[in-house]
Amino acid sequence: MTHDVAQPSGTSDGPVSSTSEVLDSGRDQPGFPADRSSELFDNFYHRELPRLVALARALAGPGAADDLAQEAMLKAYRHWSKLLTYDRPEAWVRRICANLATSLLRRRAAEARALVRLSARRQSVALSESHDAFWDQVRHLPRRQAQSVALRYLYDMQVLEIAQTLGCSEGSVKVHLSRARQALAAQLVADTEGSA
Amino acid sequence: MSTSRLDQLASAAADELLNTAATGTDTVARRAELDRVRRNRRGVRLTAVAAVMASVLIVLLVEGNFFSNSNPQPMKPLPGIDVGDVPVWYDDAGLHRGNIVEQTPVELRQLDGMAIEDGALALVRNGALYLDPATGDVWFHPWGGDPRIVGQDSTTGPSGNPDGDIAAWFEGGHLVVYDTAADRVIARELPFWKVERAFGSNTCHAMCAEHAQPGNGFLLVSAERVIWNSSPSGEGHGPSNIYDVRTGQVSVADTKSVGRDEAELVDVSDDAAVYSVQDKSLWGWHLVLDIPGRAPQEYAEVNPRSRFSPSGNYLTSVGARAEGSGERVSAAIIDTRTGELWPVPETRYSWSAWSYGDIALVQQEDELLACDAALRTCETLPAEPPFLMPTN
Repeated sequence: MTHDVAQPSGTSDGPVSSTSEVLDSGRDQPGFPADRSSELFDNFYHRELPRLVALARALAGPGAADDLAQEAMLKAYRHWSKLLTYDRPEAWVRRICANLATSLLRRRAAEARALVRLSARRQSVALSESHDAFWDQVRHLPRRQAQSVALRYLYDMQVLEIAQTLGCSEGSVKVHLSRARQALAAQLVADTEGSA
Repeated sequence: MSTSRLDQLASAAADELLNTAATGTDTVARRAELDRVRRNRRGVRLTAVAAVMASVLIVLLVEGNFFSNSNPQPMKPLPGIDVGDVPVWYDDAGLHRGNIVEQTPVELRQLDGMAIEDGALALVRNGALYLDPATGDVWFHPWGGDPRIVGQDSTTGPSGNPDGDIAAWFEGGHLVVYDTAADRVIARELPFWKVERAFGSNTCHAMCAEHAQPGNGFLLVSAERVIWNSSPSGEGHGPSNIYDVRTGQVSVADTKSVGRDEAELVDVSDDAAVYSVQDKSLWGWHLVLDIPGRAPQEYAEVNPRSRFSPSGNYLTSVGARAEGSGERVSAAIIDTRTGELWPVPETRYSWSAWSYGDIALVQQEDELLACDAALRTCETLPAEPPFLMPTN
């Protein structure tokens, strides 16, 4: 895990819109005025959320992705004062999201919540068949392999970044990626031959 | 399928997924960010090709059996197996159970330098539960299987029954009782307002499990009862509460059986209990062991903060008088069947906890010992401080 104390991030100039529908607002964060802290979180939220949803969808499927990403963001908000002291708070929320998405129990709960709200929400945009099959195979990989693949392709992360995000060694990430590639290649070949 | 084609497919699939994630979000910044990612991806594709070639090499090595020879992996047992009487602890290398080390998806310790500020590790028959102190998530880690999140927003972290399948923790004011074998929550109760929850995250946690306070407040976790010490002021002991899993009723433990006005329930094992009672000694308190059918037995020479082994046959504490020194410093293990006290053969300042069976973990400065209470032998474990011990 990266818990380096450094200049906090979250200072980009992206548009600020309220996240109060999702989160309680106005919580004061030590070292930052409440409005400044809130603004930093808003920026962080808007900057990180889209890819966080993609990460959750890659690892958990479309049904639960939004809820899982929001849940990761909710945790980030609850720990925001601590995250502000981190060098890379985005690494923290990505790791949380990846863990949530590969936790079967939480995935089921998020899927159940999503089903309840299905009628009131926009439908997930469908992926093309081959891409859907690819992510489906990723979801069948062991947890760490799936997380490594998703971070590699969705965030363009190199091995070191993946290791820092997941809190493990570079060596183990290399092994995870290698084994994932082998498994994916073998499975996709099998699928191709099966459909031929 | 070649790995280069796999890479192309993966990148295209990632692109499409990023597009769908961005659908419905119309902010310029979000689009710009996604565009930046895509540009980066194109920039690193050459690197990806090199990585693919490296992967092919790795595949050849794997097929040639070289890879597995250079990275020996222990045989994985079936998920959730009964691992027997082995010491369990956590350190930088991972989660140890005997000679096997398993990796956890999260860091179990919140550290302040070399001191553990927060964290909780608990055992059940077929696995371990632990707190992610960064998020409050509670994880169940079946031995040899995939860890999963089973609770959230917990300040206390989990406790469990090393001889059974039941675990418990607090999520806010809710007591959660979880069956690890069935993978289901069997009770989620909001105790009535008078009942305080167990110790919170700011109190002594698993690291100081059995020396100063009994772990994170839980004394007994079973399919029938959950007993915990509350801490109304955030420090020390408050009333001990008993939750009856079948009826959902909560009651306060009665300490009158020990025959003292000032007695605190310290730990419970079936019908046996150990109390801390006030006296006029220098320490002001001493330990009283209460076994049904026997007169309460007092131990003035040990610290009352003690813990029963999973079987209930032994009790570990600290403070047995080091011979000739007059100081109460070493770990001590009491045989609850005979009342005999065994000072662990070291005299350094100790913390202690229980693993499976009758294996006590004793930390003495930077060293971690596994002591077999039945055989009265200890061995030094390959543990690197700061290590986290179970808090059952």
